[in-house]
Amino acid sequence: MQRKRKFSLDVSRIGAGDWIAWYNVSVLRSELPGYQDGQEWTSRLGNSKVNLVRYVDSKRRLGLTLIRAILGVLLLSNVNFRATYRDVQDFPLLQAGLTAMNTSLVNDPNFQYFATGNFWWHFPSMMSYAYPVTPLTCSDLSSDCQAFYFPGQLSLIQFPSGEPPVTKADSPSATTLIEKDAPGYQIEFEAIDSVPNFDLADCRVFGIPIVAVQVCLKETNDSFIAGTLPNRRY
Amino acid sequence: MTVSKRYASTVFDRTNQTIIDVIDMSPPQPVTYTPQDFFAFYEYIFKVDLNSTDFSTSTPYSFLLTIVSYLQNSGETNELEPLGGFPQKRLQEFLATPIVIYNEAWLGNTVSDPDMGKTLSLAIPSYAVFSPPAQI
Repeated sequence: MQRKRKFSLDVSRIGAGDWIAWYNVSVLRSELPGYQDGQEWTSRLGNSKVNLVRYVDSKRRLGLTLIRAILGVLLLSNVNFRATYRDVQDFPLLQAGLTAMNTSLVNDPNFQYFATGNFWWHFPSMMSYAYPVTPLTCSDLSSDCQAFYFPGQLSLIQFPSGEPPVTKADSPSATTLIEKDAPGYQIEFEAIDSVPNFDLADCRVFGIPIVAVQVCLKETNDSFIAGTLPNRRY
Repeated sequence: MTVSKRYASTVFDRTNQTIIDVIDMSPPQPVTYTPQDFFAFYEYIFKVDLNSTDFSTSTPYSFLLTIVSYLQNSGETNELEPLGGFPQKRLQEFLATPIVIYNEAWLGNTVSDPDMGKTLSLAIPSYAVFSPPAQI
C-alpha cells in the first residue's frame, strides 16, 4: 500500500537537476524505486531527478549559524581587546631604562669627540626610539597634540657580570621581550597657534656668519615653548 | 613641549627589537629641565672653530649645514601631510634628542640609581577581551 506523501513547499519547487539537501527529500529516498546512492528520481513530482547534497552541508550551515550568533553578540556588545603578556622566563638585570639628561657631560673632555656625531646619527630617527602614548597635559586633546614615551633602547640594558646571555634557545615560543618597570621619559608636543613673545634671552643663534640656526626656548609653568626659524614652534 | 618621567614596562619584539607596546605606566613625575640645559648641548654640538684651517670639513660644520637645511626646507603642507607634519616632526626630533641621548644610561655607564629596571622577561603575547564599565 502506497503511503500518502507530504511534500514541503521547498521540495515542490525544485526543478530538474536542482541540488538540494537530502533531508528535504528524505521521504523520496525511502519510497522511490530505483534508488541509487547519491541520486533520487522524482518523476512522481514532475521533476526529472534530484541530486543529493552531502550531509556535511547541513553541518556547515549549522556552524555558520552559530558563528553568526556569536559574532552578533560580540559586535553588539561593547567589548574591547587588550594585549596581555604571559611571562615565561625572567632574567635579572643590572640596569635598564633611561636616566636624566646630564648637562655636566659637556665638561667631559671626551664628549667633544662624539657629541656632534652622536646627535647627527640619532636625531633623524629619534621617533623610532619612542612609542606613542596618550597625552597627559595637553589643554585640548582634539588639537594637534602628541605624546611619546622614550624607554631607552634594548641595547642599553646591562646584565650582571657572569650572567649567561639570552639566546634563541631560551623559551623559543616567547616572541616578546619585556623590560620591566624601568624609568623612561614622556615628551608631549602641542602645537600653538600664535607666536609667543620671546625675549632676547630666550633665543640663541648657533653657527657661524654664513650659516646659522636660531633656537628659542621659553619656560612656561611646567612646559617649554620652543621654535626654530622659520615658523616652527611648540 | 612637556617632559615627565614615568616608569613603565616596555614590550619589544624579540625578532627586530622594535617597541610594540608600553604597559603598566606609572603616574608622571615632573622633570625640571631649563632652556639653558638644552642650550648647553646645542652650543656644544654646533661649535665650529673658525680658527681651524679645515673647519669646512669638520663634523660640526657639516652638521650645521645639514640641520639648517633639514629644519628649514620642504615638508610644507601638501596632500600627504595636510597639517605640515614633516616640519613638526623635525622640530620634535630636534628637541627630544638631547633628552634621550645625553644621559649616563645611553652612554653605557653603570649608574647608581636604585630605580632602574631590574628584570627582563621573555613573554608570550595574547589578547584579553574586556567590557568597559557602563556609563550612566
